[in-house]
Formats: sequence, C-alpha cells, structure tokens
Amino acid sequence: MDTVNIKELNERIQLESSFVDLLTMEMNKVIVGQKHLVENLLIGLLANGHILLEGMPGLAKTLAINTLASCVNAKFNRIQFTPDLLPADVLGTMIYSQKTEQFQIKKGPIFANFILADEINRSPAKVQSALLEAMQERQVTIGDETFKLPEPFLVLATQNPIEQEGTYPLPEAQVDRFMLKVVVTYPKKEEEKLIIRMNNGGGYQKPQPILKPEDIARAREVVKEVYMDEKIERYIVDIVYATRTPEEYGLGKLKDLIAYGGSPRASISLAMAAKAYAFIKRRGYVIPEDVRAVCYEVLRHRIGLTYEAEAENITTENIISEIINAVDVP
Amino acid sequence: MIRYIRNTVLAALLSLVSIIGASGQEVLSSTFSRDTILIGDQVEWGARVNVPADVTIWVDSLLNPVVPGVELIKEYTFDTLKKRKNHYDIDMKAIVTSFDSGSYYLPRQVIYFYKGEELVDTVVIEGRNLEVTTIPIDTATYQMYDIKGPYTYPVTFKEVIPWAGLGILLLVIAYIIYKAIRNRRENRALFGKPVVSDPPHITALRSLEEIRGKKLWQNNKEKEYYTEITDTIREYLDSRYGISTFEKTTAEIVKELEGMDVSGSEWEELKEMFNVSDLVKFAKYKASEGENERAIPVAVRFVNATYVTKLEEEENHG
Repeated sequence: MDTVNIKELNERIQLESSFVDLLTMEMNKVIVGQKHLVENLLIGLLANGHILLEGMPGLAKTLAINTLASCVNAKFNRIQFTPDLLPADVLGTMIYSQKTEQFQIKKGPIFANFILADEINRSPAKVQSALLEAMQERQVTIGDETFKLPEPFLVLATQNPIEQEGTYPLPEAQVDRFMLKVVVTYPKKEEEKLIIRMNNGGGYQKPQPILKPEDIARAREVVKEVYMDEKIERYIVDIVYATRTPEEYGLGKLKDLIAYGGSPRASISLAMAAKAYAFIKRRGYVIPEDVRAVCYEVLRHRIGLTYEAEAENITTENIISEIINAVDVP
Repeated sequence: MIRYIRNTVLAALLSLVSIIGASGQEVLSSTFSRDTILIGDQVEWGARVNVPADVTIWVDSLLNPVVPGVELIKEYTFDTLKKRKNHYDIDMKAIVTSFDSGSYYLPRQVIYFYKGEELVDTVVIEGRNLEVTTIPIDTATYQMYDIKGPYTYPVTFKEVIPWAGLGILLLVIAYIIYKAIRNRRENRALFGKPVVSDPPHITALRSLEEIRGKKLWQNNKEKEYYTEITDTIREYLDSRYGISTFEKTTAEIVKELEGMDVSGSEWEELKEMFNVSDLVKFAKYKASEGENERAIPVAVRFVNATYVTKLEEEENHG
C-alpha cells in the first residue's frame, strides 16, 4: 500500500472515471430527478455489489435499471416475483427434447448482466434463496453443469414498503448479501412537472450505449486501487463497531434500541462503496465524506431494531445519524 | 489370753478417742449484715473461717430457695482477709432475701478442709434465724398513690457520641455529593481546587507552539504534523463557536462556520490549509516545504483574528 503513487493513481482515475459524467448524463435523459438512485446504481455497479431498492410503485425503479443496462450495452432481465414462482423459473431447468431425445438446458432469466428482481418479498424463501445464492456465488448449477453468470452481474431487488400481507420478508442473513439498500423517495414538484411534460411530449429519449461490459470490469479494477488510508479504515471500523457496542462510543441510549449491529461484511461493503463513491467523485483516495455519503445505504438494512425501538418509531436511519454524529472523524 | 484382752481394750480406747474427736468438730457462728430485714431487702449471710495455709476448703452449693421463703440472690463469695503465721482468715458471704414476712431458720453449713485429695477436717457453720418484717402501714393516714412511671435518666455523653458521629458523617457525605454534582455541572475536577482553564485562544496558541517545537514535518512526520494542527484548530473552534467539530468532516466544518459568518483572508487561508491537511492525511500527499512552513502561521493568524473579532463583539455588546 505504501508504494502506491497517489499522483499517478489520481491521474489514472481522472481518466478512467471520465465515463461517469457521460453515463450520468445519459441516464438523466430518461430519469428525471432520482439523483440519489442513479448515484447508488453506479456505486453498486462499480463496487460489484447488489442493491435492494425500497420505494413506492411508480418511482422509476425499473426504468432506472433498464436505462443503465441500455447505457452499458448489457443484457437486462426483469423477474417478477410471485408466490407461485419456482427456483427453476429464475435459474433455469433441464427440458427433455423429444426431437433429440435428450435433456437440454434451458437457462433462466438470471443469465443477464442486470437483473431486476421485482418485489422479491412476494416469493417464498426457496426462490429468494436460489437468487441470493446465485448473487453470492455468481454461478448457477443446472443439472450437472455449472454456469458462470455474465460480468458485470448486478441484481436490483425491489421491496414495496406497503402491502405487507402475504409477503415473505427477507431473512437478515440474506439481506446482508445486498451491498446497498436504497430508499427511493418521491420526486420534487419541479421534477414531477418535468416528468409529466416528458411523458405527454411523446415519451423519453432513448439512451445511447456509451459503455461496454468490459469497460465496467476495467473500472472495477481501478476502483479497487483507490487509496484508503489507515485512518479511514479505522473510521469505518469505528462506525460499524458503534452499531454493535454503542455504549463504547458514548451512545449508551442506543444500546437497548439495537438488537444486532453490522457484520464484518458491513465493514467490507462500507469500504468498497466508499471507494466507488470516491471514484465517482473522480478522486484517487477516500476521504471521510465518502464514507459518510454511503453510510446510510450500507448500514440501514444491517442494523436490527428491538421492539422498544419500533415502539418508539425509531428507524435505523435515526440510529445511523446518531452514530455518525458521535464517532470522531479522522 | 491376757495379750488378747489387752489388745481388745486398746482398740476400744482408740475407737472411743476417735469418736470423741469427731464429736469435737469446730463450730462457727454464722454472720448476718442484719438479722432483721424488710420484705425484699437483701442481707449478707456467711462466716469467717480460719484456714491453715496448706489446706483448701470446699463448701456445698447453697440451694435456692435456701429454705422455703428465703431466696438466694448470690452464691458464696470468698475473700481472704489476712494471713497470720500459717493461717488465713477467709470471709465467705452469700446474699439472700425474702419476699414473705416471718421468721426463717437458715440451716447450718459444713466446710470441708482438704489437704491434697485427703479430707483432713470439717468446720460447721451453725444455723441462724432471719427475721423478715413487712412495711408498717399507717391505716389512719392511709392514702392511695398512682403507680410511678419509669425513671427518665439523663442522657450521657457516651450515649450521644455514636449518634453525633453518624450525623456528622451524613453531613460530610451530603456535602461531598453536593460538591461533586456542582463540579460536574461546571466541568471541573471532582475533588481538589477548581481547575481554572485558559481561554480557548491561549490553549490553541500554546498547543500550536508546542507542535512547532516538535519539528514533526522536518522529521518526515507530516501526517502527525497536520493531524495535530487540525485537531488543535478543531478544539479551538469547538470552544470558540460551540460546534462539535470532532464528529464533522472538513466540508461540514467549513459549511457550518460560513453559516456563522466567519470570513476574511485568515479564514480563506485556513480552508486551504485544511484541504492540504486532508490531502496529507488521506491521500499520501507530500506537502511542499512552503506549505508545511505556512501551516502553523496560518492557524495562529486565524486564532488571533477570531479572538480579536470576539473582543470587538464583546465591546459592542458591553
């Protein structure tokens, strides 16, 4: 780490990250507002992490990922999760061909670069597990054969915060596999006016493919090289530790509100997401602002609340804010 | 035959002598402190015995009641009065009382003299009458009185001491708690003299001077150098403007201070120094010699400028 030439790295990142502005611009042609969503899609894409989206219907979640897929010139598939969905419907299966009198492999919709797992909590646990396992392993076994999933491989799963009847909430262990959980909010008034205008004016512009999947793979390698100082690492560890033992950081009042804190996977994700954020900001090194910028998305689904917290309407966002305001910045 | 008769007579004589000896047992008269007492009065009953020095005496324990109507209050106690040649005078006394009037005969007592394990003599203390009389009631002037209540004795100093000590202890504890709470509220040391803290600008300037003295950047410790300078400024801003800077990033601190109308060339220089500091701390930036040399003077100028502003504000308000 000490041998890294920061000046050279910075120049390289300036060069490699030049597509970020283009990509954002291209996406903004279609997606009005939702800057936060677009930014986090890029973070997930660059940090090689999957994203859990939570938002009301009609907030351009599908459109956003579809647009991203178009911009990257990658294959996009959408899987609508329903209670009768089977793992084979997602991963693929073996079909007997009467013509050839042999079993043939029929790959499922998961074989794409960008997957939108819509309303993931509407399917039973076995289907969720099949998807989450594929997300983790980045490979699928059908019959005797194992197939690598294409690169880049990014899953965006959506959850609807309302209509919880008849749903199968994702277990904590599986939620932890999503690098980011992004809460999509309503657009601003001005943005919504623009959305109406764009829709009534004959539809959206078609985004142009400006990247190839190989460009993403290369960018991911550069993201890994973004310099993270030991002080920043300590800051990340402090934040994650504060979710586990808040009393050690002068946050004794949070002790009874947190059932469980972030795992080491949270620390890894926080570091990777901070690096990706620094890359998007075209910097070759991570600063505390980068960590704070991705903190909510990385930690909000990794902190378990107690009944006491739920009774007092305390959210994980409140907890994260308290932690950020208490942990010393290097 | 003659010899047989002579032996028998001798034996009979010896037996007679021993019987006479036994019947000649020493008899002592018992003593009373008073031989007539009122009901409930206590009286000492005993005797004075002359005992050879090489002899131990044994007295049977008294029964209680000694006789029906006479109660034993205290068993015999022995007191050696004086020694005469090879003899002692021993005074023995028991305390008795009676709660019924009448005449009681206290029985005789036997004192056994032992030389080692061997009984060598006995002394008899003769019995004696004890007269117990009632309180005479004058029926002519008889008057009923109420039962008297218990006496209230005056409280002694010895009784007061533990309570007074407890009271003082409670007062001391209450004072310590009060003092601790007050000191905590005023952010002072819990015990000892109140800590008089320097004004923030003095603390900051002193700390900056110490950092200069350490010659950190000259010894290739640039990271520590900038960390210490920014920490000092953060602490100063914390005390001067009341914003918690240690939990904020540089950008947040700058934004907050600009919201408080902090401006001027010193502030612009400080912002630049903060940026250099972030680069050194997080991006392995190698600051130029000029940047390193400027860092402390920039910080000092900012502290002085904001202190002067504060004085002006105070003068305007005052």
